[in-house]
Amino acid sequence: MKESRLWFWHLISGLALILLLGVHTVIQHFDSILTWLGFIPQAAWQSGGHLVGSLNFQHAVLPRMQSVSMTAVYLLLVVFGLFHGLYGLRSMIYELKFSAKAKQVVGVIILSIGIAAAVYGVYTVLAGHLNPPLGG
Amino acid sequence: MCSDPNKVIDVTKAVQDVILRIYRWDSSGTWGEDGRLVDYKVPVPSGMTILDALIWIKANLDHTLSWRAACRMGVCGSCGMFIHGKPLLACQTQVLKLHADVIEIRPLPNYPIVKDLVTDQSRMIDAHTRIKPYIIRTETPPEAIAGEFHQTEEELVRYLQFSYCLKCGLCMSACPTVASLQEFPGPQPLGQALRYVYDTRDEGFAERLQEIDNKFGIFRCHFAGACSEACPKGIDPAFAIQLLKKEIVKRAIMGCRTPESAGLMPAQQDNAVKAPNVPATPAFTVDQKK
Amino acid sequence: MAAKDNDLGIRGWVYAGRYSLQRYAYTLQRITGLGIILYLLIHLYVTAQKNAGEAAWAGAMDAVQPLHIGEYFLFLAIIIHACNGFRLVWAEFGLGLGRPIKNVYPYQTCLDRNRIFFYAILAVVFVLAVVGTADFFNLIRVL
Repeated sequence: MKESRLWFWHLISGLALILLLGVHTVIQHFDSILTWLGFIPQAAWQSGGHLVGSLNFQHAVLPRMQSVSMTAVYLLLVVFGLFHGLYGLRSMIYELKFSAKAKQVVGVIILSIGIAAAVYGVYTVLAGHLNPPLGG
Repeated sequence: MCSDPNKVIDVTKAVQDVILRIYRWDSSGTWGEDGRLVDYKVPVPSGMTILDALIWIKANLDHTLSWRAACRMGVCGSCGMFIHGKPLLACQTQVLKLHADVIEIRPLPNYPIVKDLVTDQSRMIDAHTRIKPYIIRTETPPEAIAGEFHQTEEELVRYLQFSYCLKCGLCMSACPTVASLQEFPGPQPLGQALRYVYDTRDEGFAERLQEIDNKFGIFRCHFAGACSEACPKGIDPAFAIQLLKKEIVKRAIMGCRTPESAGLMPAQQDNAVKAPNVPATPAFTVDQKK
Repeated sequence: MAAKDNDLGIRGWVYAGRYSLQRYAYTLQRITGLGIILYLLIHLYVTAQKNAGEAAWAGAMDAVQPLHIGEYFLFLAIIIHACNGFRLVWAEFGLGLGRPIKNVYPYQTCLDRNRIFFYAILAVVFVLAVVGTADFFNLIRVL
């Protein structure tokens, strides 16, 4: 693909990630605020184990896995996040001082990592739907 | 600091001694393989520039010191150096305005050193040549163009700012990508590419795009903005590069139609009168209030 | 004629001279970006353990527990990278930088016109960092 298009999608994915990662970060990390607002059930804090709040498997992790909207957010996060991050990494490596030939090899390696991680990521996200009795 | 404009300043009398710590290197190894910083104590009168101080050192302390300069007034762009932590023109930098007792002067980074403060700027010149810094027309032969192109003042102002480039190369020294990526054209050539892309007489967008739309091209600029900070002429290369990216998005990605290039002026009549909206003299390029 | 190489190299990414904060926001963007992409790859693997059931999830969470404080720095890196990145996306599209002007000394550059945007971004980062810190160290329940 032409460099201008890759760069264009780098910027677009960056904008999308601000939204998606904003949602993701708030859900995963602003536990006390979300509980106070009622988005995380009190039960997630009272299960006895040390994994409470948004990390609680039964009351927080499972419902997220099986929610269609969260699945959509995760899918977009995987694709945009990997593209944006790996294109940025490739930029930095390309700006280092070594031969253009070796850079071509690095480009292929990064592309392979990207494809492998994307397949793994998409499978991970969809597994919650492929296998409903999971964790039960 | 606002001084009385009527006060007479004796520019021959030294106000204070300043140490210029100058980088020395030559290919015969006089200053060691990595070169060395050498201190020169200079009596500095009010108004003395770094270039004046270098000339004073050469005349009075060490005649082997080398640098490059020509016009002494910020027009030729020869005397770019890395002065006191910034790429600056030696002729436009007054010693006392730096407010330092010791001033370190090094050759411009990101260019090979020829001797002392003299650098080899062919990297910038080569890249500048590659982006075709001239107006490209499709008429063949070029002699077929009979007359002058029409351009309004708004169309002129769109690229005028970028056309004052001196090729001093300070922007290339400031750029973090130029520092590590040899194939990157750099702020000067990319800025000049926009100067021609924005010129309504030009038809060379596609040709220049081939030169810059690649993996070591324009997209290795990340708007650090150091080039615009360094530019002594207000060319604003960082701005030019972002505008060029915008133009690439518009024309190469969104597929917007390339605007039509300028047409010829109607042939002049013998009884032509001057248009009433043409200004008599050009406007001042220095703010008269400052 | 021999000439001496004087490229700053990767040193030029980190420190190149007395430039403004906007120049060093570039350095920060690189460092935070590198941290986030490395985290993302590890994060994908660790959270994938949820698919193996509750015990595996608890095991994975326990394994990364010693690195928990790293998550706080990750949060800071993300807000810096996202907010500054937001400014950069507009700038790279040639927006928010003004229009070409007639050169009149003292010169004005697009950095001057973009500075207000930059300071606004710094303010947003500060507010988000305060809220995030309060949440991370459970300061809200104390209040």
